[in-house]
Amino acid sequence: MPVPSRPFFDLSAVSQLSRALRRAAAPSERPLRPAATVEPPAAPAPRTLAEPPALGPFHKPEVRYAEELWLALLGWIREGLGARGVFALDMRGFFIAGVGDTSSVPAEVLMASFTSVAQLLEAYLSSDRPLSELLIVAEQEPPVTVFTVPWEKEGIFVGLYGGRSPSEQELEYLRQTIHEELGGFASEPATH
Amino acid sequence: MSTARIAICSQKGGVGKTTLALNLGLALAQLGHRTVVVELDPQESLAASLLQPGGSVVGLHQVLRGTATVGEALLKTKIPGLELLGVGEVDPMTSWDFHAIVSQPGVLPRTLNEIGDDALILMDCPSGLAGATLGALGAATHAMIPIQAEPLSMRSVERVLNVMARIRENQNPALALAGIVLMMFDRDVDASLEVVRTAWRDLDPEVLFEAIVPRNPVYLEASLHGVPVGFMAPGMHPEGRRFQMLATELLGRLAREEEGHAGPVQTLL
Repeated sequence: MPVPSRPFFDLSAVSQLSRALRRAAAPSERPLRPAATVEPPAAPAPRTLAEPPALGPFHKPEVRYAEELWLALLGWIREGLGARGVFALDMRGFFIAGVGDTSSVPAEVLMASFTSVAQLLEAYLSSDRPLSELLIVAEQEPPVTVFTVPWEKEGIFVGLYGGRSPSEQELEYLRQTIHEELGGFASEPATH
Repeated sequence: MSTARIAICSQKGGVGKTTLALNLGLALAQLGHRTVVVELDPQESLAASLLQPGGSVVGLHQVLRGTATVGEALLKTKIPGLELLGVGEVDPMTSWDFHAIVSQPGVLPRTLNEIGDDALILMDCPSGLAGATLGALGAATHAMIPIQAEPLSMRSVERVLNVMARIRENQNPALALAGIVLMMFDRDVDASLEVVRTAWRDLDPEVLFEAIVPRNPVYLEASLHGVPVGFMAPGMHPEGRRFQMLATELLGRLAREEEGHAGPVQTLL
């Protein structure tokens, strides 16, 4: 069967932006050294997960970029639910951000986890249930939990490996907090 | 002698950032430039490639926490001019804090200043566009983007460039693009070939490096032996020469910038 002919992908935006950033290398376009005028803050104390996990309120740190906000939000979820790691993906499966310990989980275990989540997702998406209700848990070691956060027309997947699944109230709070924080931060999420 | 601070970064994992940092670092050193490869990935891929098991646990993390100096953490290699600042020991349970410290504006530039003004610094970033990668872009003069010659990787480049543009605008006006490198090219796979053709057609020659790194089992073997790919044959493995080409291209770009323009090279004829 012949493969339909179509543009492979559109690189026009990449072309324009990359050219501008390349030309920015000319000395007239920039100082010779990056600024280093901000005083370094004191190193934060090491965190510990020795306390029983509980999802407390989100204390928003001072952030400059949406990516930093994502890290803070995922770090909060990780700590609150005792997860080994937390990640966020857009609806097309692109990685947005992740925190936590990936190195202690063997790659094949992680891969198996995500495969089973993908199968669950596929089954879920073929049903008529609204995507915003999604919360799936793959019972395995480590357990993998995935839930959606409604965002713009699509949504965002947030996944945890290890730890515990959020209660219904916690899930609502997580969704609301992520939505509000991202919405308050900028008109567009870090995925764009 | 060129000096620059180059963040090697990509949103997608597994595209060859560490391979690029290590082998380009070696090539630059062999061309006579003091080169320091700085590892920003807590997975310690670079250090794991080069150090003996149980090797140094003192690295960037300890420097940032104030428990070691740059001088103590900087490792000299057998190659004259090539040095390594490994990430050091990062407790997986607190790696969030490592990312948080590195991404604080001003922290990483201050540390890199201690390496000296005579070095080319290559920063091997973790995958993704957060944490330590943001710190590296805030401290860099240039970013170099390796992309796997396959569709998903190509589609993520726009995001990297957007983040770069925002960092340049808000935090680091010195940041510019050194270029995009095509990695893991497989000429026997149509999709891979199509990515390369599209990149050649649509990207400015001053953006896309001419040197392309193919998919080749020798990279895995080099990783197994803990050596740069050039070491895999007496004299130099042919794959090592690719990085010499890349290094020459990079040095040419840096030299032209110093001369005042970052546009295309004039043709000879």
